[in-house]
Amino acid sequence: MDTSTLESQVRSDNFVTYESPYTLYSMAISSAAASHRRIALGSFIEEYANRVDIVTFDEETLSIKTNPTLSFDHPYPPTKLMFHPNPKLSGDILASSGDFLRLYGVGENSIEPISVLNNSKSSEFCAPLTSFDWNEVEPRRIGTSSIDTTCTIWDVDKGVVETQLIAHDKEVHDIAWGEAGVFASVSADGSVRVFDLRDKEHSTIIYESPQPDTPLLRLAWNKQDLRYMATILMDSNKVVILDIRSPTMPVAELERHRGSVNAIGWAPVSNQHICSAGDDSQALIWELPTVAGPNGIDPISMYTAGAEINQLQWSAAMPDWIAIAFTNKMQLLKV
Amino acid sequence: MENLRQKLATAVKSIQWSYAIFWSISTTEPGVLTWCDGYYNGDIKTRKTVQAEEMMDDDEQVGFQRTEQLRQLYELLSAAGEPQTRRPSAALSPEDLTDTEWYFLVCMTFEFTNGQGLPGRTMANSTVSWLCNAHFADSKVFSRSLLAKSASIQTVVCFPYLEGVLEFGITEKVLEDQNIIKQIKVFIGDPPPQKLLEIPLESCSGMLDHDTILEYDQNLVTNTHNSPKNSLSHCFQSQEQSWQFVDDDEEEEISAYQNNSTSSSDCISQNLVNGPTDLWTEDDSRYQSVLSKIFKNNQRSIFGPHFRNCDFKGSAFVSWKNYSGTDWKPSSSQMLLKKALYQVPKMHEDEDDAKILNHRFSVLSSLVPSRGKVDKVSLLDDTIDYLKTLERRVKVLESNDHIEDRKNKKSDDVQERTCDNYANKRKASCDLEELQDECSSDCITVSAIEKDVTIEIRCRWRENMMVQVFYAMSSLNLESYSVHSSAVDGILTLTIESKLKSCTASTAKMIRQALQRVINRTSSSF
Repeated sequence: MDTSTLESQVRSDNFVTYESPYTLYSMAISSAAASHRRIALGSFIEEYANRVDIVTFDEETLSIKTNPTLSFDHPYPPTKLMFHPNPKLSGDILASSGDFLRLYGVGENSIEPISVLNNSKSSEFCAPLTSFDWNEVEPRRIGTSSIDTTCTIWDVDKGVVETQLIAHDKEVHDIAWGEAGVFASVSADGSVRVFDLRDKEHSTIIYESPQPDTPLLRLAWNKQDLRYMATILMDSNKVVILDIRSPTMPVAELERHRGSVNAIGWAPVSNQHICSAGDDSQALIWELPTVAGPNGIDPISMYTAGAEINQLQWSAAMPDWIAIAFTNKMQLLKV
Repeated sequence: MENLRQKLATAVKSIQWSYAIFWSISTTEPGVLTWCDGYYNGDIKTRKTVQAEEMMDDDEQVGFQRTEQLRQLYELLSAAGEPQTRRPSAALSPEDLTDTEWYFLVCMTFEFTNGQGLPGRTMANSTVSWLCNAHFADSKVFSRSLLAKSASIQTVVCFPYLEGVLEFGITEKVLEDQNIIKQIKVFIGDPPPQKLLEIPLESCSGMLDHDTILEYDQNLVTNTHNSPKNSLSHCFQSQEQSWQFVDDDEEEEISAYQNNSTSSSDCISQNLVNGPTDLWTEDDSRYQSVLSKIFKNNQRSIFGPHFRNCDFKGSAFVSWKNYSGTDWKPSSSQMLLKKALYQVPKMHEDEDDAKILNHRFSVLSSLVPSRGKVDKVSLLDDTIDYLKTLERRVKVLESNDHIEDRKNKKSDDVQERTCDNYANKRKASCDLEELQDECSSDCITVSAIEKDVTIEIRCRWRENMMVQVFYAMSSLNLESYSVHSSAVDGILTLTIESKLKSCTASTAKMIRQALQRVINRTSSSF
């Protein structure tokens, strides 16, 4: 009776590891209906030459395959990768942010650059982009966040800027769509603001970090229940859960990470579960309770990776799997 | 049963209070007062005004219907953990409730032993209990005070009735008034003692089926809910996220957030985050447990397959334990995330800086006679050498000037100019006629800023030279728009301002070399 073998056998059924030649940061899971799920992985090399590889995951055999034709150079590391939320049968589209917003057509065995979107009218210079979000309801819209304090809303079908808003007092770090014309952003100025494209003059501050000017780094809007969003702070182990109806006061603060939090993702099929990952190498799944106990909220489950987890994706295309990235590895974890 | 609710309805409507509850002795737990029946007469929240209008038409039914719906919702919420038994179509979802309705609904979960709480003491003492400021009452006196606070229930009256206690409540402060109790008793009737058991207790514990009773009352459909919300009610609303079983029309959710948020700025977090310690004393733990009792089953039923039983079989995740696993050593926090947000943008900016710098270097290389090497260090070396040469010559010239005109303080000027910028340097070099023989490349300077190219040529005059220069320029896609030329003592001085027509990469250096060839060719042909 070799129980250890049995155990490892069991364990290998619930997670899959892919090792990349480079440190990984950005990651995206395709929504395209394909036999094998595409996952785009962006390298993080601190120089010009970076790489985006698209690997495929076979849920039957639990194997991840690379395809040398589905790989391309990227100038500097992409700060975010995202696939088209509702791709047509004709082809999948991958977007990346960095110096510009770039769109790539992804075929079975080819990748073609579609466009490079630069919102600067006068010169080749465009303030670098920290992140972007593709509007699920209105897929022609992509919102980008920039270090120049602005958010830009693109009509990617036409390749033109729909609008550009000065969103914050400092660098904008992340952006997330709520509905077709409503988005929120987080910034180094420590605030979460909600914008409605029907009234561009105003924004609503939903939250401000308790210590003034503690930058907010990432933002996740609960797509299953739009009243809730989550954000993370610089050098903080907290995941702050916000209710847009109760501005300024978070409804919950999840504080069980033993290091700073790097990434958050709401469950794609349940409206009260969120996964967070951090420097403590842990991915935690939380269930937002109806009533918080006096000692705060405990996660319901955890996964411990081999190193600081830098990225996390929990996609509706693959709701049973959470993808995480640490060092040069990407892991798919069965939920 | 119907009779009781009808009586409660008539009584509560006659005094225009918010609700009536009849607590009766439980059939399963002797001596414990539990919910038997009630009638809700308070504010109703209608999410669609259309509904309200429809309801207006037969408002006699509305009150009973609403009470019934509330009861159904309660049963739905407390249905014991069997998702299959979920009734697909409850008329109300928790979101549809006003704060007062919430109060009414949560009351259904309460039970009181003899002497406990307001109904329990009323039962034990057989007296009328009139509680003003119920929302501020000590929870020992009125265990639902926090709940009452959330629902703005201010006055609660209890008195013994049959084998139980009747309770009436209102969202206003009403001072004790025996007339009100009398009025109630008129409507519910003061039953003779022998009729004590006229209410079948089984039906109480089993609660109602779909009984509808017709009763008329003009005041029934109240204005749609507008009461000021306080923190606790929002706490509820935030919890409602988990209840998906009623069809949610969420569309308006976001667009409405601004209205909601303004009316509810003082809410929630203190309860959810600090609540248990700050607000909910130990007496409120009961309340909490009641809430969780109601909500627990529903939560479970909507989870994904892996959450329902806290079963992590087949999952990469394991049940969370505090301080399990290896010790985490603090490293630099959020390293990659911060790099992505702060350093990557800087790399792009640095790249842009590099572009600008390279451009300046190319301008410089066109001004300085190069020794053939193209790297930046060599270029800077050449520039230094060149500057030194120029300075030497300037001094030579100065000394000549001093001899000619001692009053002239040109020396300072020139010195300054040489240090200043290349335009002045050029000018200085042009003054030095003897230079050109030694250093033929001095004859041509090209400076390019973006697409504007300035060319200065100084050489021995030859016939056709101008034509050839312009011909060479047009082949380089340069369009001249300003030309100054002069020929003195056989030396041609030509200054041409031009624009680069296309995006072709004609660098200043290339232009200079091309023009150099033209000049050399002309010289050699003669």
